[in-house]
Amino acid sequence: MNDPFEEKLRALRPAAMPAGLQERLARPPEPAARRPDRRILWITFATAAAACVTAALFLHSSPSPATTGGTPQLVAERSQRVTSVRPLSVVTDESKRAWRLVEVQWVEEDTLVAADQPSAVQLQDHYRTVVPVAIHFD
Amino acid sequence: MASDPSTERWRLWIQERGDAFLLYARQRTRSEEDARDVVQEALAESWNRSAGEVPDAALVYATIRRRAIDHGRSTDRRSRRDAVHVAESEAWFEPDFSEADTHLAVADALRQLPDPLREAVTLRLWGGLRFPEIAEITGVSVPTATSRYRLAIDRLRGTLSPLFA
Repeated sequence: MNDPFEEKLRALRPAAMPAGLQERLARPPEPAARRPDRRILWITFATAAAACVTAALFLHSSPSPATTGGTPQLVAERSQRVTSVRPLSVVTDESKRAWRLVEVQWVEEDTLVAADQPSAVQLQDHYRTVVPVAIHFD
Repeated sequence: MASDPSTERWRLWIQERGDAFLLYARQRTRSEEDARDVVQEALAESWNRSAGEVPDAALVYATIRRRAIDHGRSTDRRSRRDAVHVAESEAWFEPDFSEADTHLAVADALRQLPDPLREAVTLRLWGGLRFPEIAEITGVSVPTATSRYRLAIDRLRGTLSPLFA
């Protein structure tokens, strides 16, 4: 920047801070207390709730291979598979950390096979939850 | 009185940059009180985000800009009866003791500029930022930031040349 006009402008000093502000800035600020962001709390709660519901459903609907008198013997086979992963949005918490909200859908399948008959029944339970995934910028 | 290294770094940083930060905040807010609050909040935020190290100046200016916008929105929602535009109440530059009161003439000429031009020239001349930094802070391309600065200088030259002759 060799333009004399610009140099003359730059030579002007910005007005000094008033005493009151200088006093307020006399010491470095205390580190900000790390409060969890409300959105993160909500997401955490929702995820935990979804996990609880899933666990409850699992325990409740676990097929029983047990037999009782007069009923066919059933062999159960359980499988899980993810059916959809869909990014929803990106949010930031108070510390400006970015999180991607991802909707995950999955299905749990219980296949009941009669031990002595060539028949089977398949039950499906569909689940959906939203999971926060931290985004790292390297 | 001995002070810890962190306090000393902070003090030197404020001493070196604080006046220019406040100048920028004064140009981005409606009142002197808002400008001071914005500077204090922005400095604290930038310092904390830098883990107690001296933050990059561009980060501070960007934070001042964002917080000034937030203050402006909250002011819009409140009664403005107490709002006094800082441009009419606070000096932007130290007196230069010239006969022509150059510091006042420059401040007046800056006030006449459109906001984007004034912002570019302030960040460049008194903020000491490079054009890529100015472009990032103001959300425009580097050529746009550069042309804004050049246009601002041309306009100021037209107004102030007689003083600097």
